[in-house]
Amino acid sequence: MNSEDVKSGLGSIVPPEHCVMSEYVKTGFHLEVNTTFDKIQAIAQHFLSKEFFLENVAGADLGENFQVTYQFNHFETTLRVLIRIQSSWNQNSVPSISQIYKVANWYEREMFDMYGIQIENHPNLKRLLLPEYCDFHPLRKGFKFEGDSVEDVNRSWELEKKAYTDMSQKELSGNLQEYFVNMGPQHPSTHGVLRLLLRMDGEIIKDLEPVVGYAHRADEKTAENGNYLQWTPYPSRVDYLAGMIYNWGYVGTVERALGITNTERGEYIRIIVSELQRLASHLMWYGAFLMDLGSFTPFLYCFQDREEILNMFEMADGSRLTYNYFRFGGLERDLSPEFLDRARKFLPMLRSHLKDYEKLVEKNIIFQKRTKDVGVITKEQAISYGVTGPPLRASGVNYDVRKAEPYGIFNEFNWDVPTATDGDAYARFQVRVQEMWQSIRILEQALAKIPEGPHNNPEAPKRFKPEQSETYFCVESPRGQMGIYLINDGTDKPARVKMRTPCYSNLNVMEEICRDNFLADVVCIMGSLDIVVPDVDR
Amino acid sequence: MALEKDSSKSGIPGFSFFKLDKLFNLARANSLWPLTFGLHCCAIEMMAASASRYDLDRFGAGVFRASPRQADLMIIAGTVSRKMAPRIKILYDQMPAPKYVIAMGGCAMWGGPFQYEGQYAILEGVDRIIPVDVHIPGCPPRPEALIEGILLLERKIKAGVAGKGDVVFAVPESGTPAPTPPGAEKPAGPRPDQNIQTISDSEKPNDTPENKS
Repeated sequence: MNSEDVKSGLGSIVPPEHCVMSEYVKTGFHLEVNTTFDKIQAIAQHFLSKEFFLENVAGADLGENFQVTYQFNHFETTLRVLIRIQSSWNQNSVPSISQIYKVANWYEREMFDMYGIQIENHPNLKRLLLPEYCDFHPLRKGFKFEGDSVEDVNRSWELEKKAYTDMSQKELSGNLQEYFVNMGPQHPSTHGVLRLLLRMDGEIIKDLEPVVGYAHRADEKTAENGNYLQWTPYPSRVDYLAGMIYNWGYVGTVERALGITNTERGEYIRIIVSELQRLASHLMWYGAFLMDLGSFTPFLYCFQDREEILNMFEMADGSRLTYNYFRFGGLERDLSPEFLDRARKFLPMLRSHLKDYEKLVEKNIIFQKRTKDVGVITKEQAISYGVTGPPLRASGVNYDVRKAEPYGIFNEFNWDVPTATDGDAYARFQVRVQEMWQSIRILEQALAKIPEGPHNNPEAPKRFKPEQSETYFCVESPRGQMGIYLINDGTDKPARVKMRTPCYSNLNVMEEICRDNFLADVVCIMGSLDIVVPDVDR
Repeated sequence: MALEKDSSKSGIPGFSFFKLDKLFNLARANSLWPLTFGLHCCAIEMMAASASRYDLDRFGAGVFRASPRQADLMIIAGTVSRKMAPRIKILYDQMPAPKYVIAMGGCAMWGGPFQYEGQYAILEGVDRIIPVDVHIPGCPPRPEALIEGILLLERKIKAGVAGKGDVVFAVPESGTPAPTPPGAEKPAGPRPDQNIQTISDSEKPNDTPENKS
């Protein structure tokens, strides 16, 4: 399948002159379609029948008009289609596609929350990230917040209490065993501030609703306030376990928009730090997941290895956790020879440690009983919810951004994408462990071949005004596909930065896979999905 | 045990069991039970501080409890969003007295890198809703800095001045400075209306007025 096929397939819905072949190298899209809102449901239906998944939905304020862009992509053949729809604020009404793609439910609620875009026939249209009582739409241009925090807090608590009781008084059936359980936002195994509202029948989950926004801190608005270089520290604070990779995601987007190239040594350094970051993130997950399941020892073991990686990052960047290492056209500074020596010594050590962990955990009968056949994701669910990353690969779909649309020089290395077929928590565990072995393979090759030379492109500009364009660039974070959709309006500030974060989709699928499981399995499923809450809330 | 007509310490009218208070404070300082409560990035450094390399247990503060009813130290590890702020207030109210609060990282202190004029989503400084004992700057602070903050809190508790919202800044030697947010006008640090104190040597446990009397 290629973009011509998609164009002719859409022919009955959209006239061919509205479909424009896009220059992938510059924009990240293969096909761009300009259409109107009355066609979007038919388009979504068409893409679902062709097994496309909904990658991203982004609203944008263009002054008198607003714009909604839908991105569809395919797991097997990477083919990114951008559906762009503009409408005037006077006709503020968008048909919902949440009946077709389940993940659109949240994207539409977020558009309503951030822009005040009204959604027709939405099953549950309320604010997603901001508290219920808010009366503003912050991402609109010209919005200025005026409010007193302490008064807000008092008022907010009253409204929160009301919302809480409203939620738990949703009609229960006559069954006396039915009740609501509120899990979070302060709960040791929600990995941050996530709230799950569960409707239970005895010990069995009947319904689950994640309530997010407790970690929302306006990253996307912050991006619009400064110039392009000023936002480089922020992506690493969105998913703090994958800081280097998120650095790359943002820097790569701007590089694609401007056509900046990197040096060879710079590319190698990027590979090295991002794969070390993947190892650090997976080690953290390994410890935390096992701790959720009740075993404490792996947590202490894994942190020891992780600390060694953080030590190396400190040599490279100076920071332990939230890095600001990538620059447009290269890196902030070069890797020292000591770093490379240390990394070369670290990898054999990690190899032997991983074998130990395998003996400790993988064959453990209690661990297997807790994780096997728990939280099975099917391929249909993955398409409907846009699940990516290890949860997707554990369901038998071979989709990894590093292979599907190689960024950097990932295609120069010899490595495999590990997959599993069961789709349960145990399969996700196995996929992540195998990914760690593959990362070690990539690192060993990169450390052996790293060339001498400059670490960044001296001709890359620091301050610039890119011409009007829309760009998408994605990287494979340890949790899935992380992409940034960037709208430039010709000034030195980004007009819109929309982050497509993996946890957003991966958390959404929980309502489907937790149903008819035990309450104790929620913790196991959430641990196996590896949710980072600020990654959802941004 | 001496009796004194001072009700400021014990709360019992007319009597003060100050020696007993000192004994209690010594016990409190050396077995802090923090609440397992991570908000953002700082929570990972909090975990690192309690994990194998830094081992917070050495200082008696390693028993992380998931329930506020069992905890006496709240470490605000991360940005406090407006949606989360009432929850934090409730959690603080649920903790039994005496209770102490550490604001960890720039975000909990004053909004950190997310503070800009017109920021709609976060509370700029958790001390607007609950009293904070120790502030630890950094983005995020290193685990050493958190340990430094906890040691400082222990000193405050032993001196009998903790839990009242008097602010102390723990400045580690190798703190990572927070990046300047775009459009930020206020500098990183205390706001003018904050009541800032530092523990001077005269306030060390051995030199307290009660001890001399």
